[in-house]
Amino acid sequence: MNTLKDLLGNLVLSTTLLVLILGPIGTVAVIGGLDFNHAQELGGILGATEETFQGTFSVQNQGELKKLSVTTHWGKEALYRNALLVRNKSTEEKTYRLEIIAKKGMDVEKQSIDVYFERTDGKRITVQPNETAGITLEVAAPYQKPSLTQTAITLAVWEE
Amino acid sequence: MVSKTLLKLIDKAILPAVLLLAGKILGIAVFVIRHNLDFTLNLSSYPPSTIIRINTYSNLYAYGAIAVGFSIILIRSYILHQSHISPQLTVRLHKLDLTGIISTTYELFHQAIVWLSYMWLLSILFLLQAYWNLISVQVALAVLTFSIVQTIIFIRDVDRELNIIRI
Repeated sequence: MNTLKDLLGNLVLSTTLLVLILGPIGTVAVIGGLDFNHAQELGGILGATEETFQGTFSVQNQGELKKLSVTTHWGKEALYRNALLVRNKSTEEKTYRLEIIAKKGMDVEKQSIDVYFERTDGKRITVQPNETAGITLEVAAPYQKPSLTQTAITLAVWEE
Repeated sequence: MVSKTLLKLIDKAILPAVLLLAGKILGIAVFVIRHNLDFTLNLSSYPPSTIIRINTYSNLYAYGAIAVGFSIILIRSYILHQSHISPQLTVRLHKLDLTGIISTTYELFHQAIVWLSYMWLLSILFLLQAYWNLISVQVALAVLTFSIVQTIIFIRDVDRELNIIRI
């Protein structure tokens, strides 16, 4: 019984020590912005999450759709590199085409939303077997009011 | 029995944790006051070029707090370490009734391990942030170099201590 008590006591102490050391480091990391590093090039994207509309989560394959939720400020441009990755899992070279299926959000027609493959600066790319291609998302929202814009973009990557 | 070492480490980890956070917040506060900006901990609300400068500046304050603390521990471990303090200094401290500042190996090494952990975790974090263009690369490399030098100095003292134990 005493052994179990000691074991639990030491477990609690170890956890406390870990929290005490990693907590402040984590706080410095969060303040410093490990989570908004992609916004550095042009500005204030405040959060972009990727979620699966249909299909797998992290890697995009033929015919799957992805929905991106983008939040930025009116009057700012945001650049989000590697918003999605396309990987050619096959053993032969493949060409993919990028297409925006839908844009939804507040005054979405006033925003300029563009997606392209990082490497080619275009909507089409040839990817070697087991290689990955990054998709860049650019959002520019003209100044309208001092608030946030929220946009949902549905993307497809087609295999040609 | 509950580990005394863990209790000691927790005890020694409180001060650097507070100093680290205070340093980061103070760094941001000093920067925004000097540049007439609004204070916020949400750095993403600043323009991108300001984010890098404010991050670099406040990181230096946070690291500086830990580096100064660890340097004090190193000075104590080299000069005021019970196991190898010079007899002359011991006599002088005794005359001044300051023998309390002489530290034991147990005390010093527990402190050093905790402060060194903070220093290295910060160095790794700064390297990652430099890789992601969130702080200046030069500052991250300078911090890494300083951490390596401090660690070598500390290891030399540990080595000396081990030699004394062997004798």
